[in-house]
Amino acid sequence: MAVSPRVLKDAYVEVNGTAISQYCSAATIESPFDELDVTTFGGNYRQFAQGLGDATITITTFPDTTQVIDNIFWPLSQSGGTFTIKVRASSAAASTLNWNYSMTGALYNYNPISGAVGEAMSTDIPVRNAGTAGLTRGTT
Amino acid sequence: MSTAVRRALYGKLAGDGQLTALLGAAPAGLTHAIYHAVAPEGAAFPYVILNQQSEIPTYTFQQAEPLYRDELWLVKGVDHNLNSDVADAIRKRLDELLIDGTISISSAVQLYLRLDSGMAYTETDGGEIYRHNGGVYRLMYCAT
Repeated sequence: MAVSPRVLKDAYVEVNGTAISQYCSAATIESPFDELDVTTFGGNYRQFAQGLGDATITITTFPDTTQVIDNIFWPLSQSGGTFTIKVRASSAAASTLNWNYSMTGALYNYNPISGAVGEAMSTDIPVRNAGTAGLTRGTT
Repeated sequence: MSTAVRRALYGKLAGDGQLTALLGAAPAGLTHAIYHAVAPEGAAFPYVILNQQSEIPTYTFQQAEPLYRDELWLVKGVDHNLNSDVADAIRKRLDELLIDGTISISSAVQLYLRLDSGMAYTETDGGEIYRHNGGVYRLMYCAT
């Protein structure tokens, strides 16, 4: 069967209950875990075990003149409050073919202005995990 | 959108008396010696040529219409002359009109218009000397 690669053009991004997909051009979900070296004497290979997880969802946004993006992220960045972020590869309803990735996040490095003369202002916003559940994948 | 931009640029240039006073007579059926891509055969000098060099759309999720378009337009004066004075004067006026100038693009909002790179060169053909002076202007705009 031929494999059909997925071209990202209709992704869904929701922050604190507000869909902001139309302001976003990129999204990356990272979910690394610590690699714990548990090698013992007598072995020929180094062994590793999974440690604590981490999660970051980074979105690339284009703030517009109506300040929609900044009005969402600036208060969150200053308060340190947590919020829900959801990302799907498609705007279609979440399903086993269109997983919804969700986490409780917080902002620790928000740049409200980023760019140079002659550029469209674009800001990468890294949302760090701030919940005990970490990153979850589901259909709701 | 290139038609709308081309017309907007033409309108900006054709509507400026200082620029059109520098240009030769337009051929029958045309009002100004300002041409898209190529001048008609036998066109009187000097004249202005404009044509699109590139168009880069930037998309966001879920939107078929680009968030904005980033385009380069070549706009230059061409003269048949032993010196470059007139071509230089045309170029000076083009900069005055187009660097941070406002053009009226149908169904779009202009975001940026400035000189991206300038050019001046001489062309010879059959012993005749032609002077070119102009620039590549960068235009950014979004649809309304």
